[in-house]
Amino acid sequence: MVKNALEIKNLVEKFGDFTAVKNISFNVKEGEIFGLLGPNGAGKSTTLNMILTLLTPTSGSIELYGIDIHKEVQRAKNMIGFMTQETVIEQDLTPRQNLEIFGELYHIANIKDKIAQSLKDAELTDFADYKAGALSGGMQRRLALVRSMIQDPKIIILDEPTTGLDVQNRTALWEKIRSLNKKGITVLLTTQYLEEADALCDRIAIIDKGEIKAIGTASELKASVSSGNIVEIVTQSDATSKVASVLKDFGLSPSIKIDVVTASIEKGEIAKFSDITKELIKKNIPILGISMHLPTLDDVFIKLTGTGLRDTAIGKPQVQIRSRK
Amino acid sequence: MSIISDSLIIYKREMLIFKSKLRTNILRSLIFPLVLILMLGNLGANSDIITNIGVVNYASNPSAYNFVQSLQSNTDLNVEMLTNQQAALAALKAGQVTDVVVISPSFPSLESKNPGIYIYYANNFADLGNSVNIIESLAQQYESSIGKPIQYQSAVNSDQVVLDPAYAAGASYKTFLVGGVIVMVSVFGSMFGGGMSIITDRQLGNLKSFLITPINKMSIILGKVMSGTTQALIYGIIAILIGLLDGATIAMGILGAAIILVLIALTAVAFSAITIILASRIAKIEVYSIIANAITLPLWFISGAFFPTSSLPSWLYPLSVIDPLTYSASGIRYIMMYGYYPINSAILDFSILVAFSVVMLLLSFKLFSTTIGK
Repeated sequence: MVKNALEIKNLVEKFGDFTAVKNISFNVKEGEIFGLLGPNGAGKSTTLNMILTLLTPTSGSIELYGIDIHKEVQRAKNMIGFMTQETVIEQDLTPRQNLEIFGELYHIANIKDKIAQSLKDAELTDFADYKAGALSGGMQRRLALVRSMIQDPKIIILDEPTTGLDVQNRTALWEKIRSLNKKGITVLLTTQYLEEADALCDRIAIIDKGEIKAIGTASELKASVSSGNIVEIVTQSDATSKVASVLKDFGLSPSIKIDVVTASIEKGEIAKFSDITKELIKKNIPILGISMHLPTLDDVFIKLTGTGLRDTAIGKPQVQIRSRK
Repeated sequence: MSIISDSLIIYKREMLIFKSKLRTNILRSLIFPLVLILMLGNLGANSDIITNIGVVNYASNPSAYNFVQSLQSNTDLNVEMLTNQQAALAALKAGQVTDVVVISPSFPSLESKNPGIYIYYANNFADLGNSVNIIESLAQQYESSIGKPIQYQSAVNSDQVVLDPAYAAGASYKTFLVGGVIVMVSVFGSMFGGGMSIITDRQLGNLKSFLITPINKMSIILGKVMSGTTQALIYGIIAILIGLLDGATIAMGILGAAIILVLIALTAVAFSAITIILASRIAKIEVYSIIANAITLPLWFISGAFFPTSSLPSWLYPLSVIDPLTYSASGIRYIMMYGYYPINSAILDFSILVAFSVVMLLLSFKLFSTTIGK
């Protein structure tokens, strides 16, 4: 039986009258990639800060491989690696110096060998003595990743690790994360990119307003929000109304986005899909693509957290209109 | 691992960053001493300083009258005739006059046990020793004109009054100013190395990276304080070198220079801690700069760095007594201008600076661990 790397039980964090985290519980299994998703202000960062021992919970407990992290802080810190959404590396220092400082802070033996290995893992050996600030975004992120792993942690927490990266660098970082995971390192990941969670995570928890709304594999979550599948038809933009009309004839409620028409099909009506295809061909409607799939994580996320924007602002308006007396 | 070894790692990191921006840091350290010492120091050297002195004449003889006349006719002195010694010393304590010259009934005297002139000085570098030089010079002229020796000595009457007439003799305003500039650049070095680096680390997320490592939080503070102190010493040494190249002197020599470095280090420890206290409460670097300057600049001005504390208004003078920079400036001035550091003054200066540093360091630990380092 796979044991839990992280066990969070009835966790609560209050800041004055505001409760940021409301009695949440979840486990991260050893060796899995676990995603924690939620909109801005959902309580993700507060939860992570408690796991990182930067915040003390108001109540509840966090156990890491069986140890209470707030009772054995130093031991826990050596077991956790952390990479934040900002590329937190010392821009004025070289990659070698970056690794050296953090290696020393973790009191690592054979630090030179470890640095050489980390540079190799990050594919930065040839750039070891350049200023880190002069490296590309992807290289900096790889450096940040190996730096957060310098002490060989058992679990690594990645807080939006690919934010701001281009597709190539994002894909490369995904590969790094997967290869770390294959080496047995448990990963706890937060991300804004739902396709990232879909591609990487074994299990996902969706958190909103300080509460866990759902938890499970990506497929389980998708299945939980819909009793059927989604039909998606890509056509020419001037033919979308004709496609929609066909779907309506089959009793579906289509929605149009530029040149894509989508509609939900109940599980018992999946056979309709081939009939719809035949009808579209019969009516000679141009079809660029047609598919049927489960809802996406986006659908799950919106369903569980709503579509409302989480706009907030700190402070007062900069221009205040004075009423004329 | 101990706090000290962890502090040394943070210190190493700070100094690597300092070294990576060495050119900028050296330029920054040059600007302040260059502007103040080369420009203001040389302006000050050529300017006329009129000093208020109080004169009490107990001698009713022509020699005394002639001596008073010579004092009154000197353009660098503004002589106020006072009726008795008690009133004169009260004026000295109140800062109304810089020196008091008491001409005894035995003037001109031939006996060293019974001097003809008593000179009282304010122990706050009030006129950089200029008035002493003038009075001595006039007395010597007078002495030669009458062909008899005039013996004069000062007397101790209170904490504010010193007895040594050689005090600051021969020192220039430039040397006076260099002492003050050394104090100020020490504070600036502390500001950059201490609190400002905490704020930038917090903004960039580096502080969080440190806090999740197993090191003791206090070692972050200690490392920053050590870095601020080192930067202050570098800035201080540059200021001393600029001053020496421009003609300032360290009357006490190499030993004096070493003591100056210790005074800089103590000042820097205290002010690094103060800036960390500020950084624990302030998130924006702009706000930090405003508040740090609002605190350090007045402290610098009232410390006597620019001009003697006796020139301060009476309501401001007491503040200079509780200003720790006054004691740094005092020590450095003794060493640079006086040529020796009286043990009483050294004990006072060092005790206050050490106590202040310890208190500020403890406060910075407390505030850091209960706010951003929580």
